[in-house]
Amino acid sequence: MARSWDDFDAYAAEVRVDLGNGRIRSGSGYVIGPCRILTALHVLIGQEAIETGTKVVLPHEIQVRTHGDFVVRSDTVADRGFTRVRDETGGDYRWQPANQIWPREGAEIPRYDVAILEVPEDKALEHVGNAPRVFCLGPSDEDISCRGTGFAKWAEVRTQQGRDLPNPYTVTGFLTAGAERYRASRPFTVLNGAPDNAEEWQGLFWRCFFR
Amino acid sequence: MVGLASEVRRTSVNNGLWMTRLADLRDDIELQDFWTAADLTPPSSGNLLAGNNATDPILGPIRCSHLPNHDPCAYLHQFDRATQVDEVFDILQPLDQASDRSDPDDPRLPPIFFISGRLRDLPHEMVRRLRDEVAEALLGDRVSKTQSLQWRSKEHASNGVLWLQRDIVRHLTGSRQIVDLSGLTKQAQGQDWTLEIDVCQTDARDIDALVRFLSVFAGFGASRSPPALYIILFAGETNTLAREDARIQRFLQDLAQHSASFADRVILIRDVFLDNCTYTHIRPWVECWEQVCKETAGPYADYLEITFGNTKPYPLRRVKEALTTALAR
Repeated sequence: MARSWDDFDAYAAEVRVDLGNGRIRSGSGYVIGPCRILTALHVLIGQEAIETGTKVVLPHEIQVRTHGDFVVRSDTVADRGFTRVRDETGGDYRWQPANQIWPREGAEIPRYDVAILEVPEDKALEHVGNAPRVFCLGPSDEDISCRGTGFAKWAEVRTQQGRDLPNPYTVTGFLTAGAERYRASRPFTVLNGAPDNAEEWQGLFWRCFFR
Repeated sequence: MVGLASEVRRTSVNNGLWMTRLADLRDDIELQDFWTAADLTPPSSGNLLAGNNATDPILGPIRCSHLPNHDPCAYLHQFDRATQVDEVFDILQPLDQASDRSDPDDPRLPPIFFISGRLRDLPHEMVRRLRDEVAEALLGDRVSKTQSLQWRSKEHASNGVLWLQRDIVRHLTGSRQIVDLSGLTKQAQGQDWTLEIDVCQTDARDIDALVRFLSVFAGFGASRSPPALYIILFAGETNTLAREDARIQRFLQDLAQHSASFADRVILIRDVFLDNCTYTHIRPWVECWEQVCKETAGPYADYLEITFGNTKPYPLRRVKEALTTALAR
């Protein structure tokens, strides 16, 4: 059976890191297989640690939530009324605890800005525990057109009480294969629009790209 | 999956986003435990989905919701070749010299590897492994890619060697003019070439031509990062292991008898034989398929039960006729 892009978006995950003192750092990830989530390392340890190249220090507490698990629980994403969302979710916003399993505590900052999270099997909900393993595209000398799913800053949705709701946002475009790299990454040209203000890219969270 | 967005730089509206491509992580030796932690197999070069033939982007060409990765090559490249790597290591750095701690800047002779195996034993994977695990350590810096040379059996008697020499010069200088390789020692540093030869297509003239070519190649002489040549020997589409194949053994013996003209100017590594993979090597793939079969058999059994549960006995002959008719449409 052919898959729709909605099926892909169901495995897009929000990642939330508790920094203490009520501060939260958040970003996006993607469930790449049962209980495994791929995300960017800077989401977990912060951009400053990446820039300074210090050793990896694991965050105190990490939580993840997939869009699919939230929608299963509450089919009211279009309705932002806090009371209704609360009633339909029963106050359970489907966050699941996660552990950073790569890179490990004390490891050197890797050349690539990637990290792997693991959700304990007994805590994993449907879209985390029973996720299909992804198929990784091999190397190519040609540009690759693809589609990315994540939780963009400008597409954030909040209830009247200020509670964030998952709202996956997609961009399409192409990855330039042969261009010069900047810190082991490659330029991606967006074709389906972008924020009016270029600085809003700074609010773009991590997102995952599929062809 | 292609990769993940990892960097935002302020340029212009559409061009601020930078992406980490997962395929770039494939060959980085420091990231091998990344793939283990991710519980994924690194993408092989065969995993590239081309043009409009792209199928299910998450699961590959076969659409099955529980199929992690159908590509056996992604697992076969995990063949245990540690013995061969160790043997090569010992030849390039014998134990009695290992303790001498020779200066890494000392010039070294160009190595010529003979890798014998069937094509299904993935000899190019062996080349990659030798480059990554041995050459970097013992032969100095390598350039990022190997270059392929083509053996022209039909032309060996006349200008086959000149073709190979021309291809090397062209690669190093961009010029079509054939020059002595001894003058290109500096440009050839860190370069690796592969050359495939089907011994079933060869005779004594090929041995003679190869000897002449290797003498030319030896002209590069010693350098800090000498060029290397990986010669892949296979015998058609045989099922016989290269180690036990008389044609490959004879080819190597004939070559050895005529190697006096170059043997003292290169390092010869002749005994890299690719053996069968064992069940252990493909077990993850087999287990994956077993799981897929179990999980897909259930729904299909249910479907058959729903479809045919209440029907009377139906002759298999009629099923076959129906399928034949359908195929003919």
